[in-house]
Amino acid sequence: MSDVQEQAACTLESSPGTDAASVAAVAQDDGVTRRHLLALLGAGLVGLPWIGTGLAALANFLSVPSRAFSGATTPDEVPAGLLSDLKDGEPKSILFGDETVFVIKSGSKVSAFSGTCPHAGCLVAWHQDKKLFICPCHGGTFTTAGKCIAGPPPRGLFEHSVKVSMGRVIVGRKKDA
Amino acid sequence: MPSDNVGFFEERFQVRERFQKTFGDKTVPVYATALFYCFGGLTTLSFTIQVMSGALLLMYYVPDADVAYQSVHYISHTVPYGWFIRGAHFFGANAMATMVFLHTLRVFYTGSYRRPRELMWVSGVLAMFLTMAMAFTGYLLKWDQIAYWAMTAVSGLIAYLPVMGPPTRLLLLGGDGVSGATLSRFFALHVAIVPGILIITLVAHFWMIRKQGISRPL
Repeated sequence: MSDVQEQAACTLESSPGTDAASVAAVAQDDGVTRRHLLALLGAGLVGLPWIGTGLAALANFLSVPSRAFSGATTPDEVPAGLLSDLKDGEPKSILFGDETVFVIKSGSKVSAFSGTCPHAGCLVAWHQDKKLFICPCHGGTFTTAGKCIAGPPPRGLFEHSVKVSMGRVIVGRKKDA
Repeated sequence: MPSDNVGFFEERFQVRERFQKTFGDKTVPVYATALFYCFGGLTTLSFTIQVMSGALLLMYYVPDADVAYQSVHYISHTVPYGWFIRGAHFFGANAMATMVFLHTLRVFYTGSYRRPRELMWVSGVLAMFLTMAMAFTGYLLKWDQIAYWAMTAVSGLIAYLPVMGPPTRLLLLGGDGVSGATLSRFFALHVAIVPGILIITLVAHFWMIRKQGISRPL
């Protein structure tokens, strides 16, 4: 079969409106031509490495835990030093997993508040002169009792459970809202 | 093999002819091979990139005020090829916005919106606005300071609309200001509602171009 004939056969097969019967007839006459086979092999030779690389990258992309950036390593309890070291009304910041927590003693009561602003998740800052926590992002302002008194936050600071055991302060997990 | 053996699907559903008509070869008129006729196709290509890269970003992104920024940071700096997927989504978004704009200009200057293609123009303009909505809602999701203040400013603009302004702002933000509720809303809009409507619009747009062909320029 000459090249011209083969090309004609190809055009016939791929052109729209060709009825199924004649396509089948052409396919039956020729079977797989050398040209088709070589084209297929060539496409495979070029295409498979690309597809393989893409799939390998995709598998790699999907290979890590989806939430490894938070929560996974949050401890149940974190020691926050000696009760006698805490100054009245002056918070001490500790790390609870990857979260900053302020431990405050006021009178005989010890409490702990998450430093993550409940508004947009920024880290609030303690202002010693004002005795307030103020969020640097949007000005959310909180008292030493964690209560929101100004700014956009919809609620006060999240509170952590605290217990004092033999003079040591131990901060526990976040209390339920 | 008998010649009336037409294959498993064809035997059951008889869709080959319609499939050929819709997806098979189509003759493209010579005037439509000019370079500035490519923008519609490029918009579709960038939309495809957006759908695929967006689906992958969904595997790691968390739409929560506490951790949204952290999860974006995690994608960019820890997840293997995460920087690539996020980059593809970022540049794909810019490409799509640019291409849809150029496509609209091309259609406008070649007068392709004329009868009988009025509805193609209508669906196209709708798709353009939906593309802008995608860009608008997606911008907030990275949840950094730029995104936050951009949204504060834009929602302020919306509130200046007479009568409908303040309620629209309230509906969009899910509260008086940009907060975690806004993030949830924009996430829902960005990954489900807007793309859903956009895909329906695009299908209508493509069906019409298949049916009516590409317009001859003025």
